[in-house]
Order: sequence, then structure tokens, then C-alpha cells
Amino acid sequence: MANEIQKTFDIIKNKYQEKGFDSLTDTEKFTLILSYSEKSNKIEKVVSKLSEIYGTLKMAMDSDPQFLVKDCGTNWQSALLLTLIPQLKRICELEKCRELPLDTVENAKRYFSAYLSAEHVEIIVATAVSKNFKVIDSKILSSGAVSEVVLSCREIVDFAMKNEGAYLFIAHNHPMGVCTPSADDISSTRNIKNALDLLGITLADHIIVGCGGETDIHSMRTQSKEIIFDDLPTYI
Amino acid sequence: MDKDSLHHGHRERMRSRLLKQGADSFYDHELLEYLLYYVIPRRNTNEIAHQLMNKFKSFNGIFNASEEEIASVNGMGKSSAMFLKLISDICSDSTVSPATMAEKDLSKYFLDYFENVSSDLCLLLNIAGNYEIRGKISFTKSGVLTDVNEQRRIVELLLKSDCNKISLGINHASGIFLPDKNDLAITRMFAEKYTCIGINLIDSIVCFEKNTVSLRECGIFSF
Repeated sequence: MANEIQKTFDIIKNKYQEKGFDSLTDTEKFTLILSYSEKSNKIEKVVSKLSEIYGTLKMAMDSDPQFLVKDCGTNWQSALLLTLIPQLKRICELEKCRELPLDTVENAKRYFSAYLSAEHVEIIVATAVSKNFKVIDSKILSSGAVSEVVLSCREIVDFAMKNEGAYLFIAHNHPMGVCTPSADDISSTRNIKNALDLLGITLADHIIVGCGGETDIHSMRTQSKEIIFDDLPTYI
Repeated sequence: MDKDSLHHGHRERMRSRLLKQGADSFYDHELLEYLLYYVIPRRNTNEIAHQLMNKFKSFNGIFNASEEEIASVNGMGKSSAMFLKLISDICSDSTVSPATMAEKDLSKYFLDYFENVSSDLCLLLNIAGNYEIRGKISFTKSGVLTDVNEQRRIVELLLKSDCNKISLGINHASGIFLPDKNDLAITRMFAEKYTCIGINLIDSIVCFEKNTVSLRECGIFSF
């Protein structure tokens, strides 16, 4: 019996290696992934239950480990593996965002949205970029209570000096509100710009990420009239 | 305490942490260390994870590498490299749901989602202000109606993700597309009980074959 089960796994693994993941049926996908986490004599029963309730691997991955264990009889290792994969997918997508050059307002918004939109507290990030707007380093300078965080000129200038970037971005989030800059945001940005001017570093932008999703992001360079930024024709 | 017990204890603590706090609470190398538990049962995988991250710099770097390149890292082999490629393939599965949608597209979204489902599955969407989908949880209708632990777990997951708007899709595997008493019960549960914790149900949509019924539109509930 154990030999038969092992033979089935080997057939599926060979099919995966020769023809790719998309060539597998949903049952084969479940069997393949569970072969790493379930006892071999239980896999068939568990796969049958998963197929019956969820239909596809993708839907089972949308569930919660506790439900998978309770409703489908998976063990905890299998349940955690299945539900970990969408979280890994999200991490990979965030990594891709973080590799973007910040040479357009749109890219800068995507980058900081990926960085900040999942945060539950207010956070300030400083990002040094090269002349080509490639990210040299990003650092969380401050995080704190939801209501306010003090934008520290000194810390930002210190970060800018250490990284020797051509330009600097700062960003912070409003985890409970929209992205509209407050009076404090405006005066702090002015102070930071003045401080960076002393070093000859151009403040590229100050991005504010609200809690409302992809469109709730504000670029102070292009959307706020209260602050006059230095010309930066290569940032559009 | 012998070495095996130490490893076992550490692995159990990692599993428990993943279950309670999710992948966001892990550094990348810790997640990788955890993944390697599935293919390297006895050895300390922390060092191997560090080596993989040092060589490939990121999860994308690892997933874009060939199996031979991954297998060449000290402590990795053919079968562990194949496992990471499998994870990579599942992550890059091209069936991607839309990230945002208009309100009227909720019905279409749920219909597409339940297309190959032959059970009474439910899907709860965590929706941001502009109909961006922030998260989803699938569960069985009977489970959530009868099991207080399942109800509690859903509340836990929604609060953890800072949710304040949800939409519910209910699949009918058989019968007709009109809502039954269990659909009404589950909708009532989300519409009435969850408002006290600041989570609002924007609609509950029943799906059967190619038909949908929006409980909001037919006025059964005042959402």
C-alpha cells in the first residue's frame, strides 16, 4: 500500500517537472503540495475533502488554517503551508514594488504604498535615491501612536548625509485617515526642505499614504501648492 | 535537553507564531527557515535560510533562480530545491483576481470565484474605501453558523487586518439561487452583530450557476 502511494507521488512529481505546474489537475496540485506535509496514508482522504469543499488549490489557500484543519482534516503543517503561500505571494509583489526606480510620481506612490499601507501605526520613512532614482536605502525614522508623529529634521538630515544620495524622499502614512496633508505636515516639510538645502540635497517629494487604498496617496510636490519644491525635471 | 528536542521546540514555536501572527511578523530569512522545515526535517534550517538570502537577496531572487543554483547552496539538495520551485510556481499562478472593482461588479466577482466550486462555500471580502480588496477568507456555511470558534476566528482575522467593510458571497452548490434560511442567518450575523465592532457589511450575494441575488438590492436587509 505504501509503495502504491509513493508511486502516485512520483508520477505526479515527474509530471510537474516535465510539463510544469499548470499541467496538473486540481487533485494533483493538492496531492503534490500535501506530499510535503501530510502522512502519506491520509493524503487521499484529505485531498478528497479539500476538493469537495474548496474545489481548487487557490480557494483552499484563501481559507484559514483553523478551518482547513476542522473541515478537511488536514494537519496543522498542511494548513499552515497552504495559507502561507498567498502571504509569500504578497511579499514577492511588495519586493517588486521596492525595486522600482522612483523617477515618476506614480512609481513613488506605488513604492511608498507598498511600504506603508499595511501599517497600523503612523510611520515616517526616508528614502535616499541615486541620480537615476534607484533606491539606495530606506529607513523607518519614527513610528508611534496613530494621532501624530513628529517629523524630526535632525534624523532625516542625518540619514541623508550617511547615504550620500542625490535626492531624498520622505513619506508617512495616515493609518486612520485620508492622505490630505495637515498643517503640521506642511510646516514640517518646509523645515526639512530648508535643512536639506544646507547640504545641497534636493527633497524630491513628500508622499502621504492614507488608509483608503491605491488612490488615497498624496504627492506634496505635485498636489500641494503650499510648498515650492526645487525644480526636478527628471522626476515627472 | 537534547538537540532534537531543542529543534522540535523551536519549530513548534515558529508554527505557533505563524498561526497567531501571520507571515508579516517574520523576517524574510525566518519565513524561509520555516519553509525549509517541510523538506529538511532534522537539520537546523536557519543557517541555510541565511545562506539562501545572502546569495539571492530576496524571495524573488530565490524564486527566479534555477533549481541547480538553489541546490548548490550548502545544505540544500535536489528535492529541497524542487520544493522551493514548486512554491514559486504556485505564487506566480496567473489566475489573478481584480484588485479593485466597481460596486456593481461584486456579483460578477463572486460568480467568477465560485465557478468551479461544488460546495456551499462562502467568501468574505475585506474591502477598502475604493473597493480595493484587502483580503479574503473562505469558509463553509454550515461551519460558521454552528461553530462559535469559527465565528470568533473570523472576527479575529478581520480585526487584525483593520477591516471596516466586508462583502459576503454565498455559493449554492445545488437547489435554486434564491436565498434560503441559512443564507439569511449568516447575512444577519455579519450585518447586525459586526456593526458593534465597526465592521459594516455592504452586501451579501448568493450565487448559483450563472445567477446571483443581491440581498441588498432585494431589500431583505437594510445594510
